[in-house]
Amino acid sequence: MDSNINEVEVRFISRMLSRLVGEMNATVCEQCGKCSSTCPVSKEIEGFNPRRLIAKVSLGKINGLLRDDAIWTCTTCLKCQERCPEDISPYDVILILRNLAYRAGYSYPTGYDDFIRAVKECGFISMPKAIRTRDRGKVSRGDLGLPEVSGPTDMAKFTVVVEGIIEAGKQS
Amino acid sequence: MKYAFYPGCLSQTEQFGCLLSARETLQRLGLELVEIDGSSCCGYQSYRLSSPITWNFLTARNMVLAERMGLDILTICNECNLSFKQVRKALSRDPELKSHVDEALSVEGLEYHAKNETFHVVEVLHDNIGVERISDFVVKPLENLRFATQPGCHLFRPKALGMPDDAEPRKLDALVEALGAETVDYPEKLDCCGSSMYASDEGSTLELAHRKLVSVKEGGLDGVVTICPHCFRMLDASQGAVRGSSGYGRLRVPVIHYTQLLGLAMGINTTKLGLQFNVSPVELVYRL
Repeated sequence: MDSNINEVEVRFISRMLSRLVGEMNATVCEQCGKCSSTCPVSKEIEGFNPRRLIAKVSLGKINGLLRDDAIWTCTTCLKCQERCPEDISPYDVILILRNLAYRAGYSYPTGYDDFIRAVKECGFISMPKAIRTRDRGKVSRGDLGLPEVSGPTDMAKFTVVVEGIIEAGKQS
Repeated sequence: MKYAFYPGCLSQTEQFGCLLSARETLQRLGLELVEIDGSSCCGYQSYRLSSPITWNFLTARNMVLAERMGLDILTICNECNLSFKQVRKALSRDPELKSHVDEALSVEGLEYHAKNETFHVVEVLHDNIGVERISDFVVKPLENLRFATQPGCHLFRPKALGMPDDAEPRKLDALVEALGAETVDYPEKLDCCGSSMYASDEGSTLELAHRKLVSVKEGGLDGVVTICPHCFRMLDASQGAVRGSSGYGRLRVPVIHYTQLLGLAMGINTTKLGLQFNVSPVELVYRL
């Protein structure tokens, strides 16, 4: 486990998970498979199966799931939750598994690190880019007469909040 | 009607076609859009993974900044809209979470009261302004055009959060029809564009987008109209990378954002609508 894990954060994630599992136990997944049959990712990737994922979580077999790339392939479209006759949400379960996998230091798509770093640096998931037009010219926000992206007024203070108070994420 | 305008990271930093056309058309429809000084990413695409509390803090912070201006938020991003709704619900039922968020907010002298509302652009266009008034603004009716619509998952899911449209979304269709064009249903209309999976599995993502675009092409439609910046980027900008199993090669399906289409019908210059940034052959639509 990572030494920078913040206890408050872990307690919060655990609370979300136990709430969800509590809701699941109250309703009980019938393993009808409507979630998997409606899932657009299951059509493309053989190993991705929300029904089996819920079965494993119900049985407490979480550790293997946290190391499985499958939890990162969900598109978060929410079709599974929409179709479930018992109001179970594989979507929410998968997002919590991602939180836990990240916290436990298992592998995750590195693109997320870029987003997190950029938010700390400028407040957004990237700096405003100069964009190519159809005739190959490059144009910035200023060229288009768009106002500058404001971003947090006091960036230092904003970063202190994001990093210091909540101690979110790993140190990069 | 005056709103605190929250475009979301994607429109702010790279999808300038969405941003330009939204600003241009909404203001001509009589809306006053005020920038939110000091706003940031809502956290849904960034901190939701690493720190759910930071995600809640970031979304709440943007709501509070608008609340301080005495304004409701208007967002043009489906994901930000979902984030606002999820965080509002989480904070209302979890006092411990709210105290963590308030503690973080207090560093900048802020506090969360949940006094203002957040609206997606579809709600403002369809429910507040209304399709009849929008059709009054049309000077160039888009006759003889048949479109597939791509509302985007988070315009209507999850139902429990009171999303802008119903499980069988029709509002975007009604807004397109108000401009004189026709909309046609296709089997993949309610499917995900694949955008959120791009960071982890590019191949499968492109396959999802491909399936949608092939369906539109085989249906003989004139293009796809979407209202979500994420769907827009996926279907428009990534279309060149889509090489699915259909054997079509380059698909060349025009993809246009709704406020761009609205602007065309209102007779606005294509440059002001950012149509020079569309990667798909959108000129097939506006030259007709």
